[in-house]
Amino acid sequence: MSYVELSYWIPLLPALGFAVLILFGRSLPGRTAGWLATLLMAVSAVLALGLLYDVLLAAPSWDLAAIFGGHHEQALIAPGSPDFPFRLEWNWLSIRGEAGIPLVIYIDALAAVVTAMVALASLFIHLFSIGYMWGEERYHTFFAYLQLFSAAMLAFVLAGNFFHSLLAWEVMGLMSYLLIGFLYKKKTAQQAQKKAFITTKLADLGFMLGLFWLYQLVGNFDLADLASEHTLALIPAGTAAIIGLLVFVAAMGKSAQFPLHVWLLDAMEGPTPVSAMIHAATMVSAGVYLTARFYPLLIHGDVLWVVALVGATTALFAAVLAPAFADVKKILAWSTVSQLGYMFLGLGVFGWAAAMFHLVAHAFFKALLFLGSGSMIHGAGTQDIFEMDQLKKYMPWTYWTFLVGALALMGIPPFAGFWSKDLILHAAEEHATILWLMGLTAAFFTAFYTTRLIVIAFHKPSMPSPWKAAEWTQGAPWLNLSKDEVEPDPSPPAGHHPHESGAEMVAALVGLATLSVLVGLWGSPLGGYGLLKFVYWGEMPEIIPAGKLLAGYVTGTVIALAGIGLAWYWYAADPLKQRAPLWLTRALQRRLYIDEFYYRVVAAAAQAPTYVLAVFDRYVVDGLVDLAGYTALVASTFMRYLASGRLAVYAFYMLIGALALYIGGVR
Amino acid sequence: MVTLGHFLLLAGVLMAIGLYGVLTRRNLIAVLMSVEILLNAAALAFVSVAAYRDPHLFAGQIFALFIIVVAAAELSIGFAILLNVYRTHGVVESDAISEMRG
Amino acid sequence: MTLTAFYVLAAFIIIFAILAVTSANMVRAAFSLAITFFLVAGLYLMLGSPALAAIQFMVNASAIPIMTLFIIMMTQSRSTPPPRTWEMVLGLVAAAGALVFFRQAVVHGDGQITPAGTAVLGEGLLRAALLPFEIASVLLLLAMVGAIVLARRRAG
Repeated sequence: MSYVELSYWIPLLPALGFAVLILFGRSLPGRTAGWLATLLMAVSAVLALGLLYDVLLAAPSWDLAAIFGGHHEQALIAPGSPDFPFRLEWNWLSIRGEAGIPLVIYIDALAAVVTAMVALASLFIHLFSIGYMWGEERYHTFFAYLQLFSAAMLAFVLAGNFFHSLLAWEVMGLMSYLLIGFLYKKKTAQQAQKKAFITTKLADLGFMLGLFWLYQLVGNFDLADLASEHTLALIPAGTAAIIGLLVFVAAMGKSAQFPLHVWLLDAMEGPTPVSAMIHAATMVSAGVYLTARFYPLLIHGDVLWVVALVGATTALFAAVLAPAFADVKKILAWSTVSQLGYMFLGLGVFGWAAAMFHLVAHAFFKALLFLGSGSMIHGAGTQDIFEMDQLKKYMPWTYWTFLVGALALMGIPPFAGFWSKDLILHAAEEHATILWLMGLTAAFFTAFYTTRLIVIAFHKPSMPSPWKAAEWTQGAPWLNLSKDEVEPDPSPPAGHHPHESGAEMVAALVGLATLSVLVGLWGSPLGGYGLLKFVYWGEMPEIIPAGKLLAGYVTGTVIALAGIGLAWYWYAADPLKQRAPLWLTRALQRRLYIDEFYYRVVAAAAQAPTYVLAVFDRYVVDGLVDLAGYTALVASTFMRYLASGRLAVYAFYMLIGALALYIGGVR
Repeated sequence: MVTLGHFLLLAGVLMAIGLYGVLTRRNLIAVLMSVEILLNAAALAFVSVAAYRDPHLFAGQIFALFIIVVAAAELSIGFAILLNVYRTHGVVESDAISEMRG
Repeated sequence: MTLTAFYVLAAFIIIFAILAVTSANMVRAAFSLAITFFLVAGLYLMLGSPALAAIQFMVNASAIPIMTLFIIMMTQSRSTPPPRTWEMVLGLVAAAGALVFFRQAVVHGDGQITPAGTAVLGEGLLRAALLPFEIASVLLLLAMVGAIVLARRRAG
């Protein structure tokens, strides 16, 4: 029984966990719900790792030296197993013996790697949540939702049939809604969950339209089939472009790319493990994964430049906005948006493997950073970095693991982000200089805001937050909420000393830190480009030797160091000094008014037809109902005079009745 | 010579008179008396038809006998009810028992 | 000669019937009723059914008017007010309608009356109409019990 044959258990176990926890979770004592969920996830992760191992053995292996030397014919060392990529198929949804839509699990290298990534990240986040969510009233519900989400994401990654990917995609959207609004009593959480769901749902239209159009042209939903040459030949290039763009819109929504980025920041209303899981590591990666799976179609339609442009714009946009925020989760949220932009940029400039490498690495170090922030919030009692009191001193484990994640994010060697981000930048440089420059600028800002975060939160003592009382931060206009509807976040009481977090939380942090380092090394030259060779879609990988990339590596590192240097210079000395003009800070904190534009203009325009319908409902429909009632009233008012109470009249009626009966009967 | 028609016409006239009485009289006893007239008119019709047309069986007369029996039973019960009406309302007028009007 | 007898009887029947339904004096109405039924018994004799005439006389012409008089006395309704105009109109309309209606039912024919003896009546009752006969007796029992129960003075 190989891991491939067992692969359907990987999404199935957490799905069962969901069912058990939803039905019986309330009666489980203490933290049992959390441990049960974590255990199921652990088994799933073991299966995923086993699968990865099987796939590693079955994939073709290549000789690096031959590739570098240009001797491509001799590059293939071993052709790999003939069954690879693996495929499990069941007959599902078939009506009256027709073909129907088969349930397919498709396991190629990318699927194996991403499955392992999702399972491991999910495992550590489950572990972290055992301690973090303790004390919450709906503890078991949280784990149930987390399980179902993991099941959906795993099913999405393993799906070989795009119809099922769509279903899993929608389930993920639902779980995101439920988890963002987990603390549903807060008004901001309610608005945030609606915003996330509606934005992504609107974007999902693209996926559905594109997919069904594709089905009409090609006749099936199969992933492998839609990547093959002869199927693509059936689709004219123009149509492929439109379909590709439609699907990309859905990816933009799910992965919060500009201009559909608006929901991710407010998704931070959810508990921190949720932010780590869904809005850092996995769900938002789904958009990238989808785009990667539709790659052949996008190439056929020649629209990859759109992907690259959106990615670069988003990366820069988000990185520029991040330094204006004081909430650690919001800073990390902008960071996620920015890094996802990098991934799309990588995809758009034909740096497929680089983008996938960044995807996997980012999942681990961003989850690490978010969980670290969860630890910070838990220990310090606030989400505001200014109010955090020298956390390096009080929470050393959190500090060092966070630092590992931060270095990975900033792209400092030998940490993960360095290897992947610079590969993307190199691919961009070869393709379009403007994109390369945008990416580089974003890298500068990334280093800048990350260092700012670390300096103020970990190195500086607690101080009053500069913008908390400012007039433009009252209420939440980006959520369509006024001042009265939003309570300000509480500050920790004076003299409150932060404390390090519990054992489970620290264990999760350490685990993720280790993984992020290992993954980074696996894809680096030091690891023999293992990951990069591996994820190439069965074809010969195009790997550039480190020597040629040296200039790029150096540039990237220099830019990052410059960002670190400036942030250190400014914030280590005087963290509270207002460095940027006030109008700029205000505009950035209001997210450049984009959210408000969506609420005021777009939503209002969508609501306009409803007023017409309301008039119709009020006057026509209600009018008809009133008419029915009125008719009954009038009729009865007339009829009641027949019941006069007089005996003689009743006798007369009887006479008439008898007469009528007689006449009717005789005639 | 008296024919069946004479008797039937007489029965019809009696029935009309009885009807007039039922619809017109305000005292409930009088109403019951008018009902009695109606019943007797019917019995008369039966007997006359039996005499003229049914020489062998005389079924009409037997029927008329039953009409008499039933009329007697019905009147006694009716008067008992009217007694109760008198006890609750103080009079046996049809106007008094119009609580179910409207 | 029978024709004259018939017309005389018929005329008086109608007169007394009209008196019965229009008298304001209830006692007078009750007596008129008795006389009407008495005369109808005479008609039954003419129709050759002495048994039925006797029964008619005993029940309808005696017992029922007596019962009526009793109830008139017990309910203190010696006189009854005359009908209102609309009631009269209603009644006249119904009566006229009834007359028109029944006129159609009138058939003539030869004037042969076959007298019925008591024996025929008895045989008919105890042979063909046995079941209705028994049921009728039960009905009378029921009516008797029912009337007693209904007319009882309630305790307290």
